[in-house]
Amino acid sequence: MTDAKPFEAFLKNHQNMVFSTAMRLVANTAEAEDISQEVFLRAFERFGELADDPRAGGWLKTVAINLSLNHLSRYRARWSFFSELFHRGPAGEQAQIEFAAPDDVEESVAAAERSRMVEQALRQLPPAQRVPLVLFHLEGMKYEEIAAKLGVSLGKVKTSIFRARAALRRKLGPRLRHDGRPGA
Amino acid sequence: MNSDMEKELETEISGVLQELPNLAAPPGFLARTMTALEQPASRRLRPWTQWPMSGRLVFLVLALAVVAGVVVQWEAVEPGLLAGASRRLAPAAAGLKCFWNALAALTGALALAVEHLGWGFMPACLAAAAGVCAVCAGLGAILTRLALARPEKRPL
Repeated sequence: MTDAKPFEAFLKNHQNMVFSTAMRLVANTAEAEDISQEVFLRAFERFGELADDPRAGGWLKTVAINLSLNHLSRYRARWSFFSELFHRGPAGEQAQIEFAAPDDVEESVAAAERSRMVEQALRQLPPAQRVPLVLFHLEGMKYEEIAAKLGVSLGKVKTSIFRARAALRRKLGPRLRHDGRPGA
Repeated sequence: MNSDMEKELETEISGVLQELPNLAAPPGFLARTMTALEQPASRRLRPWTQWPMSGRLVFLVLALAVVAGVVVQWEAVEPGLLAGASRRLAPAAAGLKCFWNALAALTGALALAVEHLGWGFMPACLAAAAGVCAVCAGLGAILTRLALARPEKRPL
């Protein structure tokens, strides 16, 4: 039986990474928490191998991605998941996130607040756009890998990611600087 | 949008996303997960399809053993020994017992037929059954083809 104490330390070290991975894919706190818990329950079963393995973080991330995608495809209608029905177009877009006035930003808005706004904008994207975007930019997967993982065509993946970037820029507003820092 | 603008957009968004720090797990997450680990019963509540393969095989073998045990022991045990348990299991085992009796009757009839007609009876039965199957399959194929046949196109 695996000792609980070392596992607790292991869990503490990785919980934020696993939760972030799940949260950015499913965009729902309760669901992300359930998925993260399942990831650690599985890790517990293999803790003997994972405890001293430097690749444990990668293993956890992979399991979190797989469970999140399984969750999305199982509990949400697949036809709408990868269809354009979620794409509401300019009229249906969420209101642009309000940043503080440019002059005030550098003084008053902390980096944490900027991150919160980006996270919020990310969550507002439809799953059909958010999931490929997250897999590409945050998980470092290639277009082909994403297409294979999601079971959609390469063209569809590229289009979805392009639309997601454009939508994200619209949401974050014209103040998105070219060096990638919003609100400057 | 041309490829330069696309590239610029990609760089822009990539920069924004790469800067994101990890989100903090909810405050109760650690405690909740540790509690779940300490309660093995909660693990067993997972659907059977999500059990590990070894667990499923063991469960299947045990379930078959229990069923076989009930069927075999039904006639063998002392009536008073497991009377209570028998009474409780009676409704569930009644169907199995009927099936068992029917199987036993058929086997008995077959044994009697072999005894009186000799072993030559068995190949004759098998040949007859095979013939019946062949006739059924042939008729089925013909009827299916007739049903699915498209009307022949005739030149105008």
